[in-house]
Parts: sequence; structure tokens; C-alpha cells
Amino acid sequence: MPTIITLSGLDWLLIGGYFALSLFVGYRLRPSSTASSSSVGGGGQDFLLAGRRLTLPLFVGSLVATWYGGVLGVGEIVFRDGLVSWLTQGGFWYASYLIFALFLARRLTQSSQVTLPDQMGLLHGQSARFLATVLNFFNVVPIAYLLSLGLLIRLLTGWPLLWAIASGAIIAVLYSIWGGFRAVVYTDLMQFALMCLAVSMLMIYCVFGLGGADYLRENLPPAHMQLMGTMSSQELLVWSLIALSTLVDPNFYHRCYAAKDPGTSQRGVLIAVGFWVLFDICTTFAGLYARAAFPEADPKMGYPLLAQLLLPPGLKGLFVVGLLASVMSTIDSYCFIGAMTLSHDLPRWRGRELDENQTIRWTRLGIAGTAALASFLAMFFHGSIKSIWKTLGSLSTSAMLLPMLLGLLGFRAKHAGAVSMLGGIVGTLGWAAYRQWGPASAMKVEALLPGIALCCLGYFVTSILQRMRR
Amino acid sequence: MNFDWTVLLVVDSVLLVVATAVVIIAFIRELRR
Repeated sequence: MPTIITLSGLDWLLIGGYFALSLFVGYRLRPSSTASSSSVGGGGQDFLLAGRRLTLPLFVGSLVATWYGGVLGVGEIVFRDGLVSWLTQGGFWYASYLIFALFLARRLTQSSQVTLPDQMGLLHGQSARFLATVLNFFNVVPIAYLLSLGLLIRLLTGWPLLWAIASGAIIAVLYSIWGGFRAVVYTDLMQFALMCLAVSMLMIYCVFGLGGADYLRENLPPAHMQLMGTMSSQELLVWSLIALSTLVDPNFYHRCYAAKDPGTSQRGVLIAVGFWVLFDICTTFAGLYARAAFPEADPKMGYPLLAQLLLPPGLKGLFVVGLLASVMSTIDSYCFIGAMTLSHDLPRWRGRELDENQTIRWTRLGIAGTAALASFLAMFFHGSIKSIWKTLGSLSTSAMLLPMLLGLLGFRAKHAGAVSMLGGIVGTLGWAAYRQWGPASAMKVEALLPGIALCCLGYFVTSILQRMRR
Repeated sequence: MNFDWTVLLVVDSVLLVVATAVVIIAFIRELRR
């Protein structure tokens, strides 16, 4: 594979230093055997939630870094679609973040739960808890992110994809296996700083190295500079619904449960929105510069090509570290939440509570297991599995959004949670199958929409039936 | 006179760096306490 980025010794030193520092942080934060029995909260909450003492800087850094996993993917979308991607990947999401901050963040912290399935169980009972556990796990196995990390490492080293994915997975999860959620948030803070620095630097070099507004006007297709682009209003509506997945995102929930108080979680999400706005402007316009400078290039390689063209040795290494940091910060958090399925959600569903040591042991095993499963799927099925996994991922939004929101707002009815979740699952999977084997016109409707419709129907019909029985 | 709006991109980048530095400094202060 041809090398797109050529790195100097200094660049490699920075990359090596970043990996070493991440591992050092995880190793230093590993729980001591004496501390485990006296830590804050039972059932391993110190390991799972950093003792529920997340302060504002850690909350913001961790949330911002975790939320951005596929910076290369964002570059690809901007390269292909133009400025409209700021709306589909940014604008609609900000509205969801604000809804989360204003209506959910405080309630979640006050509820003192541990995971999103706990919350669902509290609101709608054990059947809903079980369904949420399964959906949540499918949602967080980080196949696409591990594939991105593998491709990035292959780009830098020329290693075969299998080795690149395996080595990336080992480093990305080793520090969280050692240090638990505390290691995840501390490394997230470092990764947050690195990725913000990387995109800011690239943006400044683009403006001064390539040119201003005239350069973009002369070298981009006209539709690339229009905010609405060439997308139909139906497509925009679908994107706005997809953005609502934030409201049932397990990473948001996990950080709210770990926050030291309700004010921290609300302020933290609001401050994070500010960072996302600034960050998205950089990634969007850097993507446009990449398209203008390399119109024939592979869209995924837009940012690396810009870095190669514009950045001097040293800063190029810093930029690569920023890219690695953005993917790794997401992989560690996703694997950690996947692991909690094993160490917390399944035992709780069966009515068991593990002690501190058992929780730590099963979480570590779960992190390794989730990473191994994701690596296996990324390595051997990355062609076909993507669309299957996208459908499974959208299941969690279609099945959990409505019951979670209505439950948190106090609208609860016996069995309505589980019935509506089943409706969401049947609607999404049924439509995905219809898209696969049905007429071409079925492709016009995303599987998410029938899923949400059946979920709504299930909730309201069950609620009305319960009311009539009374 | 034409205003080159890409200056705003530079302002955005500088703001992002400054805001990041504020978060890191706040974290270091917490560690020292």
C-alpha cells in the first residue's frame, strides 16, 4: 500500500510517547488490592464509575473525546457531500445535546443508577431491562472504530490489516483493563486536548497555506458550499431523527452517572456542545479544503493528504497522534460499556450483585472480550458486516428512545416499556429485511422510521389497554 | 472591500485551543488541591 504520510523520527517519537503515556496512566490508576474493599459505593462502583466523583474538566474532556470516533469518516462525508454535512453531522446533533442537557442530565445523575439498562429496568421493569441490555451491547461493540484504527495504523506502518487492528485494539483497551473507568476518563482528557490541537492546527495551516475564500470558491463544486447541498427535505428529516440517538447514548448516560453532582453533568454537556461546535467547524472546512486540493483522492484520505501537504515534521506527528487519540478515546469507552454488560447488567437482570473483586475481574474480562469480538468482526467481515451492524445499532434508537424519554418524564404504564421496545425491534428488523429482499422503492425509507412508528404504537396501545383495565 | 470569511476559521481554531487550555488548567488546579 503506498504511503500517504511520510513521518520523521520526531513524528515517530511523538506517536510512541503518546502510546507510552496512555499505558502509563492506566497502569498508575490500577486499583490496589487493599483499596478495593473500601472504595466508594458497593458492587465495584469505584472501578465502574470512578467513584461517582467526575469533576467538570474530566466530564467535558471525556464526553467530547469519546463522542468523536471517526474523524476520518467525518472527513469522508464532508469531502463527498460538502457543507450540508455540517447540518447532518453537527446542527441536528446540537439540538439533541441541548435537549439532553436541559431535560435529562440532572435526572440521570440524581437517579444514581450505573448503566442505561439499569435506568430502563427502574422505569419499566425486568423485561425492559433485559431488552435494553441486549440492544445496548450491540450498540457499543466498536467494529467500525477498530477498523478505522487498524486502517490508520496500516497507513502509518504498512503492516497487514490483521496486525494493525490487533495491535491497535491491545493498546486501546490495555489501560482501561488496568485502571477501569478512571483510566478511561483520564486518558480521554489527554486525548481530548490532542485531537482539539490537531484539528485547530490543520485548519490554520489550510487557510494560510492554501488560501482564503477565493481558493475554496474556485476549487469546489458550487453545491459543496451550500448549507442545504443537494439533499432532499426527507433525507434531512431522517438525519434529524438519527441525531436523537444521543438521548439514548450509553456514553452520555455513563458519564452522567459518574458525575459528582447533577450540576456538573448539566454544565458539562452544555460546555461540551461549545467544543463540538468549534471542533465541527474545523473538521468541516478542513474536509472542504481537502476536496478543493485533491478532488480525485480517496475521500477517506482527505485529512492525511492535507497533513502531508501542509504540516512540517513534528506537527505532522502531532496531527497523527490527534487522529489516533480521537479513535482510541471512543474504542476504550465503548469496550468498557460493553464489558459492563457482563459484570453488571446481566448479573443485575438475574437478581445478583457481584462484589468489588468479582466486578473488577468480570469487567476486565468483558473489555478484552468486547475488543476481541469487535476485532474479529472488523477483520473478517468488514465488507458485509457494516450494514448489518448499522441496522443493529439503529435498533437501540428505535426501540429505546420513546420508552426512555416517556419513562423519565413520568409517563409509565405496566408492560408498555417492554412491548414498545419489542415493537421497535420488529419494525426495524422487519423493514431492514424488506429493504434487502423487497422492491427497490423500500430503499427510500430508512429502517429506523418504521421501528420508531411501531415502538410508538406499542407504547400507546399498551398504555390505553392498561388504563381501560383499571 | 471584500471580507474574507476564512479569517473566522482561524478565530475558531484559536478559540478551540484556548478553550482546551482552560479545561486542562482547571483539571491541573483540581489535582493540586
